[in-house]
Order: sequence, then C-alpha cells, then structure tokens
Amino acid sequence: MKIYSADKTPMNIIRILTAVITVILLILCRIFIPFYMLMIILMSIFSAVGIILIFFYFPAMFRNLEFYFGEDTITKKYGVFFKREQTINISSVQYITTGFCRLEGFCFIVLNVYGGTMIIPFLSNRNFKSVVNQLEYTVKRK
Amino acid sequence: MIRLYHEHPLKILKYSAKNIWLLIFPLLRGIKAFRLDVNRLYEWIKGSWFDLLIILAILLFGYIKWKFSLISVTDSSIIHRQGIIFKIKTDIPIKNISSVTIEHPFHLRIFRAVKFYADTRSGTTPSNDMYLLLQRKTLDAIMKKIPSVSRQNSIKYSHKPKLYLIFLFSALFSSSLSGIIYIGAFFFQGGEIAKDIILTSIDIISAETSKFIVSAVPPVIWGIMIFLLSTWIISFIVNLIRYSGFSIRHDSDIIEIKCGYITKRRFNIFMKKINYIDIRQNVIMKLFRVMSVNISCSGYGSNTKNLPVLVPIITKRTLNENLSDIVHARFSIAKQYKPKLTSFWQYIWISVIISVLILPVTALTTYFFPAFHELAVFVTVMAEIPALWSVIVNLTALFTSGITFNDGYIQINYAKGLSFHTAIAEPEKVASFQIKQSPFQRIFKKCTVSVYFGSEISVRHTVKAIPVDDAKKILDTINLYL
Repeated sequence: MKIYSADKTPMNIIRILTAVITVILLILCRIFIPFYMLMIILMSIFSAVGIILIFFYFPAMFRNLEFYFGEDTITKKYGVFFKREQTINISSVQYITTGFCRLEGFCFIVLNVYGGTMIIPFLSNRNFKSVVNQLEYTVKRK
Repeated sequence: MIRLYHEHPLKILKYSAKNIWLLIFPLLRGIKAFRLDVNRLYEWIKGSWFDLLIILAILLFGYIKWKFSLISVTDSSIIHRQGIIFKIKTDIPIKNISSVTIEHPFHLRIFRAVKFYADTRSGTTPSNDMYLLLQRKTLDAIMKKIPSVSRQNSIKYSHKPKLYLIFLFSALFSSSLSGIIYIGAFFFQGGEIAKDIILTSIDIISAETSKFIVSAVPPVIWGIMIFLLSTWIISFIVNLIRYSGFSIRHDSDIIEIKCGYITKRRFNIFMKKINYIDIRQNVIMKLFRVMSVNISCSGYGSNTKNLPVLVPIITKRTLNENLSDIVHARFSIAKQYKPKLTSFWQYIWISVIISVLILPVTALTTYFFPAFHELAVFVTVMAEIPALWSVIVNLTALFTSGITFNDGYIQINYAKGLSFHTAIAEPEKVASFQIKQSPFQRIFKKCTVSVYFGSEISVRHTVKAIPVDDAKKILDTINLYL
C-alpha cells in the first residue's frame, strides 16, 4: 500500500491569493458602500472569513488530504469539519484525465469510474508521474 | 512513432471567444460607413484600431490554444492533450469505449469537418467524455484503430425502415413542447429580431383567424391553438429530418446506426456496453400494436436532441425476431409477477385527484377574476385533456405492468408519465433493487418495486402494487444471477 499526501506548495499560493482577494474586497467595501455600519459589518465578515481560511481551513484541508493506493483499490481521505473517505476499485476506472503544471503541487488526476469520478489534486510533480504511470499501466492492462 | 493530429482549424473560432461577434458588429458598422477614400480609410482605422486589435488578440489566443490541442491514437487508446501552461491529457482506452458518434453537419461539410464524440460508462452526467472537431483524414486515421462494422461478410443483421415508418415515428414522438423549445432556442439566439418575428406572427395569426372564424372563442385562444399546432409541426419536421435515412446493421460486437440527410450521424455502439433495452409505446401505439425499441448505452442518446433509437417503429409480431437478431434478447407477453386488479386505486389516484381538482380551481378563478373566465375555461380544457389521458394510461398500466424472468433476462413492464416502457436486461446488470411500502400498502401486504440498472444516467423502473412475497422472490432470483 502506497500513501501519498497533498503537496504543501499550492497551499501557500492559495493562502496568498486568498489574502489578496480579501484585501481587494475590503477596499471595495470601503469605496462603494455608503452606509458606515453596513461597511463595518461587511468588512468584519470578509476579514473573519479570510483569517479562518488562511490560518485554519486551508492548512487543515491539506493536512487531512491523503491517498492510499492498494493493489485493487484507491482510497481518498479528505475533509475539514466532516471527514470523508472515498474508495474505488481500480477495475472500475474507465479512463483517466491528468492535469500537469510546471508549478510544483498543482498537478491533478481525475479517475473516471462507473457512476462517478475521483479527483486526486495537489500532487507533487514526482508523485504525479509515479501515480500516472502506475494507473495507466493498470487501467490499460485489465 | 505515434503521429500527432490537430483538431480542424475551425476550432480556432470556438477557442477564440464565444462573444467575438460582439466586436464584429461595430466592425461591420464601420465597414458599412466606409467610403473608398484614403482619408476616410485613415479616419476609420483611427476610430476602430482598438476593436481590430482586440479581434486579432482573440483570434491569436484561439490559434495558440488550437496549436496546443493534440490528438494521438494508439492500438490501445485515444489521447487528447490540450493546454498551454496547464497541460491536460485525457487518455481513453479503446476497450472501455461504449459508443462513438460521428456527425457531419451540413454547414461544416464544405470545410470537410466532422464532429467526433467518444463515450465510456463513467460519470454521472450525460455529457460526452471526449468531443473533437476533426478533419476527415484525421477521423479516418482514428477510425482505423476503433472497431467498427466495416467488412461486408461480417454483418449479421441489417435493416432499413421504410419511409412511412419514419413518418409515423416522427409523428408519434413529436410534441408541441419540443417545438416550443426549438422556437425558444431561436428566440434566445436570435435576440430582439426573433422576438419581434414571433410576437408579430402570433398577432397576425390571431387577427387573420378572427376574420373567418366566427365563434364564441376569443381570437387569442385560436391564436394559441394554432401556435401549439405550429410548434408540433416544427417538432415533426425536425424529427423527420433527424431520423430520415435511418438504418441499422451489426456484426458480432458492434451495432452501427446511421440517420439524417442534412446532418448525417453515425453511431457505433459496442454491444457488450449496452445497459438495457427500452421498448416504448404510447396509448395510440398500443392500440395499433406497434412499438419503438430504444437502448441505454453511454453516449448514444446522451445528447438530448437524439432519442436512443434502435428500431424506430416495429410491430409486435416481428418484435421478437428482430430483438433476438440484434441484441439476443426476447420479449415476453406473460407477466410472472404482476399487480392484482384490486390494486387499481394505487395506479390511478394521483391522476384522478388532479383531474377532479382542475374544475374547482377554474370555478374559483372565474369567481375572483370574472374578466378571465374565457381564458380560464380554455386552460381548464387544455389541462383536463392530459389529466384524463393520464387516468387512461395508468389504468392500462394496471393490466400491463409486471416483472418477468425469461431466457436469462429480466423484463420490467411499467408506465411512466404518459407512455409505457418495457426494460429488458441481464439480471447481472441490476445495480439496485428497492422495495417501498406506504402505510396503506403495508395493510394490504403490497409494495412498490423499483429497479435500477447500471447506467450513466440513473433511471428508475417502477412497478406498483406487487405483493411483498413476490417482491422477495424477484430479489432472490436476481441474487442467483449475481
């Protein structure tokens, strides 16, 4: 059984983007909302959401995201408030879609199976190549 | 060495921008105002240079995206790579393909472009797994690797329905609703111009009919009725065009279906990937003992424009002969497990209540809004007709519904909406079996049985008022096959 975790590099990029979006929203509130109390409320909400996402939610999401590759099954464990587990049989995979980016950690694999899909996101480039080779061999071999 | 292909260059336009036409109109206005004069040309470019630059940038972006979209086909799979910075690769093994669709739209034939769709049994939505716009020669290269019915001596069955059967099929499966959808599509895509045309046409129809029809019915109601009839005619013409030239042939593994003269379509269906057969009838078809044979297979009929037809119209007399020739299944008239006739209320109660409730609603509307009396009467009549029709259909379903095991197949007869269905499949393909009991059914030891077959779109096949003991026997029989 091989275990893969989500790469942490995209987490920092996502946190920075979230911070930027939060600041933009705060500036827009300051400029466009004429009512002082409403502006304060909205700015507080955006700030709180931004802080929770940056310092709690995204770190927890990446920490809990794990993939277990067995001989016949793939299990994905994820979730922050509600922990979830998704398992598929490798034999039920119909085809694979992969997304490769030179930015470390932004690679993903979509397994298209009977009755659904399983998305494997945020793999490092090294893990991505290893997983794709293994999956393509297994899916085409069966 | 694996050869890489591009999609057809027309795809550049699609990749460019959906709203590129927004910039075309200011450009066309400028061209219209253009005069053959060097000074005028300079003035025009001075005013429109930014629009021209935007169009060029959009087209350049589309070209780059097209250049990075590459297709390759090996002995085992079709691979599509796309993306500039973020590279996406879709790799579909050929042995997992359920169906392949090839479309030659009339407006693309001059460019020798074809639409190619490939589907597998994955996912939960009816969208295509792979869609490509290809040149003819690229399609030929891909089709060399994908199994198809090609050799004449391998064909085990072929059939081309007569033209009058296609007429009949188009008439039976046309509806005002689908005609309205076609007009609606025209309306939304044509914008203000289409809206003016449609509204003006309705006014003209209403005014003209009021000249020669002298009756108590207001002209607007005649206009609506003629409008509904017109939309049905549009739906009929569209179906006729779509299914003209329908033919089917198959070898031991693949079924090939061709249809359409204006937009030519060819479907290659892998027989092992057929989920189940669905024989459809409405009340009129039942009276004349004809039916339409459809199939559930990923990719065939996923596009809502096409019904997943195997045989458009067939008589009951020749059904078994054709069914066993095409898909090796048999249709059974006898019902092994069926509802008792005393359970009629379970079948008709919803339709009866709706039919009865329509009248007091009309009375209330007339009482509170007397000005709308004639319209309310018209709407009542229009609503009462399908409601009563539904009572007839559900009453007929009481006599025709049931579940049968026959020759290694499970056959489920049931009614859905205003039509009758017979689903036939191997019991191994049953994905889910549900027994539901309401409090009243519990008293009479009856239940509702629902069967789901493994398919991309989840479809429920339901038979009501089956005795609970029979439902358990059905489940036990299915389990024997699994």
